[in-house]
Amino acid sequence: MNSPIERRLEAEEVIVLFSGGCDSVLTALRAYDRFQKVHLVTFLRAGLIHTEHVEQQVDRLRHFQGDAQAYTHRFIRTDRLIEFLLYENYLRNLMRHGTRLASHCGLCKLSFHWRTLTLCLEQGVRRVWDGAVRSAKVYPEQNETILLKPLGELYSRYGIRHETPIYEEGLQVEDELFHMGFHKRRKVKGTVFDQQLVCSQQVLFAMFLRWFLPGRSFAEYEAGLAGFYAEKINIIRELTDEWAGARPDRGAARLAAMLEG
Amino acid sequence: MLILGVSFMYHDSAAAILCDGKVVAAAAEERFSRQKHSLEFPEQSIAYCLRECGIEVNDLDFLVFYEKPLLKFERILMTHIDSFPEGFGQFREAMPLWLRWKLFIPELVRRRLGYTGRILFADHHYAHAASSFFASPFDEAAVLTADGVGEWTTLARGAGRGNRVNLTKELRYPHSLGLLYSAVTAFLGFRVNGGEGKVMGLASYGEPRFARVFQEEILDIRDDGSFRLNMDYFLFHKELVMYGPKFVSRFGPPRAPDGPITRRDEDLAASLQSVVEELCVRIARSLQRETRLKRLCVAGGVGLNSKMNRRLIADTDFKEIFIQPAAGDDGGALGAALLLYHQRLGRPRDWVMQNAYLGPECAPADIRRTLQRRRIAHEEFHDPDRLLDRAAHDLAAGRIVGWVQGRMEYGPRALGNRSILADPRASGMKDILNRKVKHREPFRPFAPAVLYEKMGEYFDLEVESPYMLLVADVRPDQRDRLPAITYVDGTARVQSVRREHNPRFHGLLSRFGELTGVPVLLNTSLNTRGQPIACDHHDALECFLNTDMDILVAGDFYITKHPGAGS
Amino acid sequence: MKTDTAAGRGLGSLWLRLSGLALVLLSLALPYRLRWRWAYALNFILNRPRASGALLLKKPSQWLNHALLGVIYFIGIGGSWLAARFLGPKRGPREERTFWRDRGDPGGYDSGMDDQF
Repeated sequence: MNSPIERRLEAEEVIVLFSGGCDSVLTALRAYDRFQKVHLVTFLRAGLIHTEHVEQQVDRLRHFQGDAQAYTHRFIRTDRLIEFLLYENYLRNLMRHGTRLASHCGLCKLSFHWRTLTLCLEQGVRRVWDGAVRSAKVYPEQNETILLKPLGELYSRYGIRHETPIYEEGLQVEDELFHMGFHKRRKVKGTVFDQQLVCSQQVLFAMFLRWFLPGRSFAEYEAGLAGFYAEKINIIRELTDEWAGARPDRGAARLAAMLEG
Repeated sequence: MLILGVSFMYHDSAAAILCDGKVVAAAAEERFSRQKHSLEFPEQSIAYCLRECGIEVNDLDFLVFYEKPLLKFERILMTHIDSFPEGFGQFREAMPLWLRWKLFIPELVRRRLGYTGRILFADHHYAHAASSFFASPFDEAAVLTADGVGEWTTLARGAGRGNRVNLTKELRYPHSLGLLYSAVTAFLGFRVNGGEGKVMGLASYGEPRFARVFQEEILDIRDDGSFRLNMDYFLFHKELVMYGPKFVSRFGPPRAPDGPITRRDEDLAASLQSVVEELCVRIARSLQRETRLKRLCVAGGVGLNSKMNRRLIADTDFKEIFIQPAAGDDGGALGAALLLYHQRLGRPRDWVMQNAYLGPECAPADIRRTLQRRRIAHEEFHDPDRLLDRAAHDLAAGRIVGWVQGRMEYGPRALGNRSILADPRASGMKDILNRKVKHREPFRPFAPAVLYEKMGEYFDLEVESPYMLLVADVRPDQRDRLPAITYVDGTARVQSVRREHNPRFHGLLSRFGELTGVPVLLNTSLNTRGQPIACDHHDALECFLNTDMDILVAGDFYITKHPGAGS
Repeated sequence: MKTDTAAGRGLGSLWLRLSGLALVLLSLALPYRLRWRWAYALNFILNRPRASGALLLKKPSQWLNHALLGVIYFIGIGGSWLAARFLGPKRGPREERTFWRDRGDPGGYDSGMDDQF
């Protein structure tokens, strides 16, 4: 079907990490304007529920663009990756980093990015977008110091550009979606209209913050976690190098066994 | 004096606001919530009404609900007593809702709105009657209201004079024209409270070979038009289904939703329609004899039956007819407010409904911002005449144009402000629209809009029809020129457009007439199947992008799907 | 309660910190699947206590609901039916010239807008 939407297309594909929430919806809408093909990927692990919300949002996005082919979408599980990140060298890490091992949100998102990285390498995609926002800097994966910058560096090591358009432009997500007409209401986050994957384990991160944050400045918090996540990224890099190099040795087999469809 | 009327709880929730007896705003909740025939608390339409008046909720002098819940509850309990012990299933479904919130309307309203003022309750059929009579230009008129059921009343008749309306006679549940129509609608596989119009359309394809069955077995009709239903054929009074096994054994198995339409279905629809028309004509004649009045006001959901309405004026001694465009329960909100203002408070009438454009409009700045944010290619016209020229040329070239202008209509018809327009001269246009734009059954007709001053040249209609609620014969010499809007029986459901009521739409019709010689446009609502009519430019864009419409004109903004098209 | 530390600000009381620590340590002691299940239950209890209770009682409360409605129906509605049938006025077969009913005095109607009845 013909469309009046002006897409300033780059001759590329992009993978968008998609949870169905407002942030990733706006990211997906922006991505459609820029890329020939937009692949929405929703990562799942034990405890993430309401996948039907995500499917509904994908349908809504296609309908909104008036283009049934606007987006591809798939679910990919990352249980093995996150289990690895949580429990690798467990006792040693527990002694070394203590309760930082309980910063679940960051570790979970790190597993999603790790799988995205391998997906890009598998499919030859060079661009990754996600819906990180400035207002959520307590979350490691939306914090420049703790994970955002290191993630960008990790991706670029493999020739992939990782971008966070909402973060970079400082957009007010709900306002944007309201003015575009995607939402009929200004305030959607946290209401019944906020249709996304629900994490039933976010409470663990809340408990971690309840214990870890008080008595520290935010800069100390960031520094405290940055070191921990830097080590995790090292491990990821090491295993990915081995896997990407496809050497028939123990390292390559290890990551391959952890990658799920 | 600020009065807010509200309707909700069953279907077609709505709100309407009066300021010193003048209607400032009115809208159905479904347009905002995007839930067709929404029964939910009309939060968004209330917010719109308050916004339009520039007030807060506690600036209201009164809030009036469109029916009397406890009287309705009485009817429900009495019906259960009558049908004991067969109605337990229905009782079990209905009672929790009543006990939880339907019996506590004032508390619900206060909690949802934070409203602390007075809440009043209108009799349901009086709300209907008021919505028509007090909106009409008549100082006195006979009044006829008919629907499924209000509290107890299913059909009422009386008269209005000055600022009073008086309903003198009624028929009571379960003997209801509206429920009869709905039962057959359900039997024919269409949705109740939504599919009745389809049955009316289907009727034109059939022969009324079952009319006698209705007249002799299903209905017991008196000379004055009063009637009883033979409840052996129905189950709506005791179960959650409309018709019973006797109905099925009489007419055969019901049609499955989306199943093929058979000759039987067409004939059944035709039979029902003919019987309902005859009955209403009989009632109207009796009413006319009793009141000796020459004008008639009609309201209630049955008032949306435009073929019946035509007969009320053609086959009785009534000379003029007024059907308020929101004739159903959405109009109850308006009627309740008008009833309070005139009947209860005794205020004189100095407002007449000139048009149905009582809803929100899309601000140019909002449209511009959306188009820019969504990167939608468009042209902005600063000269309205050029816009009309361009649109008229595109229509004449066979393009399908979405048309979003001014304030949204109140009531179920699109009247040129939230419309899809097309050339009525194109013989294939009906099929293209049904298949590629509206995605609906092929038998569904399309209706015309025509310049009021030229109406007589094309349609055999001697009264004005501004709200598309009257069916008329297309003049035989014009049928071949207007194939897309001439129905299988040679009729059309007409909208006559006056310049003073809608200058832009009138201008478009005029331009089109100058170009083609035919100042008539096919006018259908701007929505796809299952969706309410578009409220704003966002809804219009959604419809535009997901159908085969060629052009969308929203305000002064022209959006074309095929770049380079047009004059 | 939700994620009360989402803004990352200090929470003050020692009790809150210690409770957080206790829950963190418990989580760290659990293997993968068990940790997620424990978190799910914790989330439910802390954030949606009423829903937690309601979930457990959903079926029993449905049965109770139906039973109550059954009692109301068969005793209340049934009793009224019996009374109407055996104690009410007998209705013989009717041959009526008209089914129209008078709608009552509209004068009495005006004051009725105050009532739901």
